[in-house]
Amino acid sequence: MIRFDNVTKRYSTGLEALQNVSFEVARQEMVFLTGHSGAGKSTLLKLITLIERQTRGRVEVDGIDLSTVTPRKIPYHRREIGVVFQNHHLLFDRSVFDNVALPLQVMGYAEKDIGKRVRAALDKVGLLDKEKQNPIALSGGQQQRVGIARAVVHKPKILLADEPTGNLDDEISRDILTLFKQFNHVGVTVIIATHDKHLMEVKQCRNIELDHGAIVG
Amino acid sequence: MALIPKKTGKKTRLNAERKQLGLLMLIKGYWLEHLRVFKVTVHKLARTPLDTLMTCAAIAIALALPVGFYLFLNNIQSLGPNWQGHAQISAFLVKGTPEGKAKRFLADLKLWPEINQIHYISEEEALEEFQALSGVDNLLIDLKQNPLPIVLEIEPARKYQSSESAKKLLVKLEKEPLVHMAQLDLAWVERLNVMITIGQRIALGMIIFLSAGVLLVVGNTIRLEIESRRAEIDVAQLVGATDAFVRRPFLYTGIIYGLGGGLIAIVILSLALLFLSEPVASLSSLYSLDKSLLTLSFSDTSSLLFMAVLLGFVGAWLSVNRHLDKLSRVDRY
Repeated sequence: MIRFDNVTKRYSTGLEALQNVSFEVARQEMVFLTGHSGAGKSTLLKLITLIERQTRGRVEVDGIDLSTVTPRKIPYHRREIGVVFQNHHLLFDRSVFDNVALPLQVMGYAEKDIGKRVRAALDKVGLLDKEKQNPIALSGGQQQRVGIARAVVHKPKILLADEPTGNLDDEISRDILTLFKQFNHVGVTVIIATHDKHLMEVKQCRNIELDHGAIVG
Repeated sequence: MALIPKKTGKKTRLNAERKQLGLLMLIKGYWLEHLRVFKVTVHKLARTPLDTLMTCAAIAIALALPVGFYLFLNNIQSLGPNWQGHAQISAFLVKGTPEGKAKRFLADLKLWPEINQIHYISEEEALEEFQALSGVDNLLIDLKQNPLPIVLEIEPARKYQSSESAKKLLVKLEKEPLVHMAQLDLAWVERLNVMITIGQRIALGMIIFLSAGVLLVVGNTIRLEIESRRAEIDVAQLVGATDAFVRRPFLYTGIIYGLGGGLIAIVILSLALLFLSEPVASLSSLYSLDKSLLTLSFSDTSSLLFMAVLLGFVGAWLSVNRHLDKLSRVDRY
C-alpha cells in the first residue's frame, strides 16, 4: 500500500530529515513508526500526504508514484488518506459535528449524506451525544477522538496518526489505540508515529524505527 | 450505516459508492455547495454587521462620488440633441426691408427642405425684447429710430441639425440678397460638448482611480479574513480541499461586499438626486427642457451594481490567490 524506495528528504536549511529510507507497508497492515523526536517520523508522514516532496527516491501510495501527482491533483490524493494530529487541529469556531463534517464538505457530499456519515463516525468513537458541543468544552481524550472521527469520516484507505496520544494519559491512550485497531480490522491501512512507550508495549504489530533519518529496525 | 466497509468485498463497495457520486450528483452537489457557501458567508458577515457595513460604506463612497459625477455629465450630454433642436440660425434681414417683402421671403424660406420652422421677429418685437432683457427703457427716445432689423429665427429640419449641414444652410442663407447677416448658435453647444468631454475624462479617471481603491479595500479586508481563518484553511487543505474550495467563501465575501457597497452607493446617489431635484427642476424649466437634468436610470443602477460586484470579486480573487500561494506550501502539521 505504501512503499518507500531509497527516499531522502533534505530541507532547504540543509537538514537531512530522511536518509535512504526504504520500507513497505502492506494493504490492511498496521505499523508503528517510532524513534526519538526529530528522527524524521513527521517528515515521513508529510511525504505520504504530499505536504512535502522527497529530494531523492520514490514514494508510492496505493500503486501510484507520488512524483506523478501534480499540485492540482494533491487534494484528491489526500482524500484517500485520513490524518490524526497530535494536537488534533480541531476548529473551535464550530461544533463537533461541523468539525467532523469538514472532509465531507470538502469532497462535496450532499447534506443528508454528511449527516449520516458524521453521526456514524461520532458513534464509532463514542461521542455521538457531543455532536452539538464546541470541541473546546471537551476533554483532551475526547478532542482526540473527534480528531479521529474526522480522519475516518470519509472512509479513507489509509489512516496516518502523528503522535496521537502525545498529550494523553495511559488509559485514554489505550482506548485510542483500540480504536485504531478496530479501523485496521475493517481494512484500513494504519501507520502510527509515536514515541509513547506504553503504546509500544501493547503493540502486536510491526515497528519501523527511525534514528536520525535512517531506519534502524 | 456502518462507518467502515466490511472486510469482505470492501473494494467493490467503495467503488460502488464512489460511482454513486456520478455526474448528475456532482453537478447538483456543485450548486448546492455554492448555495451553502453563500449562506454561510452571509451568515458570517451578518454576525459582525458594523464591520461589514463599514467596508460596504467605504466601497459605496468610493463608487458614488465619481459615478455620480459621470452620470451627471452623461445626463447633460444626452440633452445635447434637445439643445441642438433649439440651436438655431438667426438671419438678420437688411435694415429697412419692408414688412411685406420680408413676409414673402419668409414664405419662400418655409419651402426649403432644410428648414423646419421660422419665427418672425419684427423690428418692434426685437426692440421690446431687447428692452426687456437689457432693462434699458425708452431706448427709442434716445435713439429716435429703431436700430434693430427684422430677425428670422430659423430652426433647421431634423436632418440638417448636425453642425455641418447647419453650416451649409447658413452659407446658403447668407447668399440671399435680403439677408444682411446670419448667425449659427451652435458654437456654444460645441463648447459645452468639449467641456463635457473633458469632465467625462476626469470622471473616468476618478472612476479608475477609486476602483483601484475599492480593490485595495476589499483585498485588504479579505487578507485579514484569511489570516483569521488560517487554521480552518490549513485543516481543509489537509483533508483534501481544492484551491477552488478554499477560495470560494472569500470570493463570495468579496461579491457580497461589492453588492452591499453598490446598493449603498445607489442609495447615496438617489438621496443626492432628491436633494438636488428642486434646483435642477427650476434649471430645467429655465432652459425649457422637458426632461429632468438628473435621472438614475435602471441601466445606470444595474451597471453600477455590476461594476461593484465585479470589483468585489476581483479584489477578493487577487487577495486570495496571493495568499493561497503562501498557504499551499503548508509546513504546519
